[in-house]
Amino acid sequence: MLRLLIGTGLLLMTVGFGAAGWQYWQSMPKAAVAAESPGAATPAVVARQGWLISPSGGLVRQEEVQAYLAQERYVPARTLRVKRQARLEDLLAEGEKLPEPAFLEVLADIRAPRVAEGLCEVMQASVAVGCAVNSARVVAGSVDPGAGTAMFQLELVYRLDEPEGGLPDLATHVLRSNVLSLELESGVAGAASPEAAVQALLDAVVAACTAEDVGQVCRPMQLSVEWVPGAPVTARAAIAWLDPLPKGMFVAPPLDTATGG
Amino acid sequence: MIRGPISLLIVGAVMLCGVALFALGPGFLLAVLPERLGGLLDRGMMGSFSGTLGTGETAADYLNDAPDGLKARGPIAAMSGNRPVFIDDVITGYTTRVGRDIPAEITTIRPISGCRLTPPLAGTEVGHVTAGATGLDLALFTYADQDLAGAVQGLVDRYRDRGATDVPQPSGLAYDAYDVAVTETRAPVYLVLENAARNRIWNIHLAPGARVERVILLGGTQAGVANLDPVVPVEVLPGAAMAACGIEPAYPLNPGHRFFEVLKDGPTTYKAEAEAKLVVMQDRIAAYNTWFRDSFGVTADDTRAGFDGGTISVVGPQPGEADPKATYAPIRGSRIRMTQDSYFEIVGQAPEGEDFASKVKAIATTFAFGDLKTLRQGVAF
Repeated sequence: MLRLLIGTGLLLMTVGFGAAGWQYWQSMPKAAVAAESPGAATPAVVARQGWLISPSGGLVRQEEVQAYLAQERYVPARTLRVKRQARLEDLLAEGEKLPEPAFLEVLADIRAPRVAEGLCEVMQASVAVGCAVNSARVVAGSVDPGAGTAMFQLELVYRLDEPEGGLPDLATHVLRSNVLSLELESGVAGAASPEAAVQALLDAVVAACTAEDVGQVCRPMQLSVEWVPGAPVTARAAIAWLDPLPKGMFVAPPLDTATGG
Repeated sequence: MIRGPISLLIVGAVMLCGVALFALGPGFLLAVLPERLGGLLDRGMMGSFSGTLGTGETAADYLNDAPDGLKARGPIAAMSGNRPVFIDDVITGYTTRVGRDIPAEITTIRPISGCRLTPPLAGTEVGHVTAGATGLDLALFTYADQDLAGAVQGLVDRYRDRGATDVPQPSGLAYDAYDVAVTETRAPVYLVLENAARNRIWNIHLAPGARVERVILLGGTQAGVANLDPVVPVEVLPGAAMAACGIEPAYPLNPGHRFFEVLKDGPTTYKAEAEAKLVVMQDRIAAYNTWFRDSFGVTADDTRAGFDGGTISVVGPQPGEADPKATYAPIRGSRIRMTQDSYFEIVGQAPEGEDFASKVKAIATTFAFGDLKTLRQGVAF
């Protein structure tokens, strides 16, 4: 009963004072608020059409639009995800020894970015003009103290080059996409290392993008590779490109407020 | 201009206190208030602020037959057979303000090897106490490498999430206290103290003339006993060792337990499942009773003194008006015999750089090649 009473009181206070606090902050001059929140990165503003048409005539989801168009910056939906096994000893500095078994997982988690090293080089040597490790974590419960290995989940983001001469008129094209699946038996060149597997996937992307039935500005969107030594490699790549509007399809752009009115 | 933020700070502080009181209960208030004020509240609060079931004149009025077990909702203790009694009627000077108590002497003991405990001698009374977590955390805690590793992972996650480098006081590692008042004076007492919490210190309070023959500490992870004569033997069989010995504590559920609600009014499918569970439960209770009787000469469920939620049990009869009550013996300045994990610490008494938080930071920093900033991840989209 007491807790119910206190709880109700707190709820009312939260609502009341929350509203008062909100009003207080709202009443502060906007410039002051902006000055008090530094570090907010201002993304480069690029004037371009912000929507794309799907082959069925609907609008493409915004995150897919960004993944395809926004190459001046990294976007969350344009990623290379790599799940790979690595030896724990590879995480150590020279002369360092592995800690007690209880600490292996947290050591692996802290040093997981080490196992992502080399992947950006592969991306940049092939299709990307920019690449960064967004996250690198050990897979919980994957540490095998006996074998001295762990699984890692890595996520890289990348940027692609703009085509020479720029993009075609987006209002007269539709965005098409396809998913490539790659399976590499262990022992083949592409299965030798995660970097080799990524390279094999990028080669497959480049080959798929130059196929006859693929239109203009073919780009990789989401890439994923799963690599364990001695096991077949599985990899997938989502690619997207622009095709001219199908005959009989007309574009009705999104309804926005008219400028000045 | 400055009054606005100050008002918000005051309101925030009041709300924080309210939230803490709501979430952590009156124990929180007792722990932070000055000793004299806390003592006043300690004696009055339990009865006046807690929900009673009747007039509040009898001890039974403060025993809640709740869906998750029998809960003491006021100043009551559990006697054998789980009969409630007012704490003031069995012990003098009782307090639950133990959070800052530091013992004078700590002796490390080890659990027994094997599964056989020394049985009670003929002519001794067996006192059987059971207790869940009390929330009366002592300033003593113990931990292993796994706990340190978990805390390092917590620090890493918080740092990655919001750049925080603080290491909160570890929860679940402190020994919590449970009081046992021994009022049996006619014969020596053989104490079987059974713990369902993680780490536990049993604080023994004797009535004048009471004698303890032996103490058996069952269950939990780490256990110890305070205010016990050093010549009295203590045997410890932790929960994991009990399981390895095939001993599984089991007791009948209280009538108000939600299990019986399901059994009575639940959907047909749940009812059938509950009936099957009841049969299994009864088998376990019988098996535990058999082991208990073979080990100590009495059955477990009949002799049990300890609610699922409570802070004190009584071994022996309720003292009459002329009989002396047990006298509260504080943890502060006491002798404690206890089992410990790899590391043991008294809050605020570890040398600088060797306390739990410092160890966690040092490990995280070493793993991060000397710079926690390397833990940062994420691209600004």
